Amino acid sequence: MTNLERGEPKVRIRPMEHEDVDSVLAIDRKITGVRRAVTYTELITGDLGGVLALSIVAEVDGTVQGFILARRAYIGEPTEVGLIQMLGVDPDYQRQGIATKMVDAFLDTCRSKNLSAVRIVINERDSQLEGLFKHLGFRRGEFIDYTKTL
Amino acid sequence: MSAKEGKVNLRRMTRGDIDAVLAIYKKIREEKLPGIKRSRLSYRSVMTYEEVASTDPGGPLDLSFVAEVNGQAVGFIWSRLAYVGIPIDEVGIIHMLIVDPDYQRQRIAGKLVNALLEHCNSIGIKTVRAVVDERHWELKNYFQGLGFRRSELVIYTRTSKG
Repeated sequence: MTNLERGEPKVRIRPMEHEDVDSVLAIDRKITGVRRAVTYTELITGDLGGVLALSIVAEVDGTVQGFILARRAYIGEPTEVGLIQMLGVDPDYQRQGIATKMVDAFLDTCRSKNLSAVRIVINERDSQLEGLFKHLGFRRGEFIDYTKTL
Repeated sequence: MSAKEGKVNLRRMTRGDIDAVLAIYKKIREEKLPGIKRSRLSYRSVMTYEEVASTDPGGPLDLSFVAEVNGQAVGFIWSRLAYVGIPIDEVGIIHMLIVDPDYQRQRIAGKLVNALLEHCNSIGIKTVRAVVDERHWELKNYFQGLGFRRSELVIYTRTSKG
């Protein structure tokens, strides 16, 4: 049985573009209920660190319903990795495998750019997010985070 | 005062420091630390010029400092401005803190960290993080002594090979 026969949406993964900012912010707002547009707008349109080089969106029937905001980064060792800064799927389109498709596409992108690993920083109290990334094949490593607030 | 001592000068790292940084890194790699098996730590045996250069030392996202004694680089703190976490937070991340073994126990590392903290504070970065291999107890203790505390953030990784 094909995806279409099961009634599953046709998902198209593509690189994020400047024009996607509003859609990305709308999904984030729908997920979190928080209006924090300024931060993300700066990240995406400010081109700080080349966010657009790795970020992707997932379209369903031509509309953006999910995104991965990512960039190259150094986390803990002198090897550049793909760092997922944010992953979001519109609540109406969750549990349809869109996050998995986006992460798989993101891994392909990283491979094509010779990045050997993909990392994400998670609050360990966020069991839902932790569970999602475990399900997506991520594993907790030896790196831990020490923080000093100024 | 021995030849290995002198006034410590701290300054921002530049691209011109890359060779000196690699030389110190190589030297520290060859040092043996009690109770630590190097092979179990995450530091690799080789760090290349290209890898350091690609971080753009002295560039807009770079926060690194070099410590000099008598005009010679003897230590460095490699740090960058980053946007990480969910929700995203603007932080200075310390990737590496290394002092030439011949110049250790002169509080140079602490001076490097303080220089970074003061710089971050002056440009409005209110959080500085050190990502540490949890098996490296010496480094963990060191950062705790400098007032860093273990956060609730954990790092998940998936390799992109095959």
